[in-house]
Amino acid sequence: MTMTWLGGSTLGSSGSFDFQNIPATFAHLEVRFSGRGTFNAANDSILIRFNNDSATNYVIHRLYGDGSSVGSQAFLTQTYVICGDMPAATASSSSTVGVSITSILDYANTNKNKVARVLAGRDENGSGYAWFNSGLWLNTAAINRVTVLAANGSFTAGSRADLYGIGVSDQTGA
Amino acid sequence: MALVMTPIYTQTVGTGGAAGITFNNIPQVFTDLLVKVSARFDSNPESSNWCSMKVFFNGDNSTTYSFTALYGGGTFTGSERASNSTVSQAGWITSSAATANTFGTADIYIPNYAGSNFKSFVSDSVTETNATAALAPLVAGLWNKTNAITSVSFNRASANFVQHSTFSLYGIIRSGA
Repeated sequence: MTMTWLGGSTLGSSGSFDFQNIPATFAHLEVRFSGRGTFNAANDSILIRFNNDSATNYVIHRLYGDGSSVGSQAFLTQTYVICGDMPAATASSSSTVGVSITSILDYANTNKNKVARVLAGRDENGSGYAWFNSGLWLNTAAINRVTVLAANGSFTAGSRADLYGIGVSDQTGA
Repeated sequence: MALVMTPIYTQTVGTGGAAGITFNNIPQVFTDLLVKVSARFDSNPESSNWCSMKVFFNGDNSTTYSFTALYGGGTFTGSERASNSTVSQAGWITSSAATANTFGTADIYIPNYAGSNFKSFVSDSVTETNATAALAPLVAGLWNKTNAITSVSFNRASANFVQHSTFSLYGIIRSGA
């Protein structure tokens, strides 16, 4: 099986997700999230950190659409990667979630700074965002820990995150 | 019915770099193909932090390729198209102008690669760097030939892939099919 589930859970109460002791035996990682935030606002951002690094070692770029316009942004010297957003406490519906898939290729390769590629979005039947984000962790260390957290507050009960490892072939086909 | 993703081939660029990458003799037993790329170019032919990565199939460089792209660049957005080209666009990855040790990443998804229709594909790629300008493109591409795909090639004129660039080919099939 190429894509191996490395861990994950559905929250029974509000909280966050912290995948530790990630083995270096795969080639790529993928984090899949769906959930809501507890923040007292209509929405909140989904963040990821690597190896518990909360220093200003991250860069973010994102392309987004909000249903009527398209935009692009860049943020330097950040303390996280943004992996989309989600409905929060005052959202119009209590049943919608934000969805995010974050792909990190060559996560254990010590010749490379770590790059995250994110497809994410939320729709609330009249509002929402579609995101195509990227994140750069300015560190060549192998990733052994991934933390998924809300920008403000925490994730609600019922929110879910899973971590997958993806292997490669030993054949080249050259 | 579960989907199964099987690694077929992997190539890692060695010392000295590589002008291009080709996967030959692709087995015809899967439903779809997926290529995961983590790569960087050794030059800057587009005078920016990013550089386009071309793709072609079965060694064919006739004018049978096209693509449509949507992208964001940190401060700008845009869309472009090319038709009747000798290659299509697999996405964009980092050029030599990007932050050192930083490689662009891409997923290229090719459904029904062994079928008898024209070959459509999609890709998403990012070209990160420690600067405001970095490209995040989404691409829809086409090879308007009905041949089954037996090889996939990636390259870019005036640029070589640097050492440590990796290309991973997967076959996707419905379990039990």
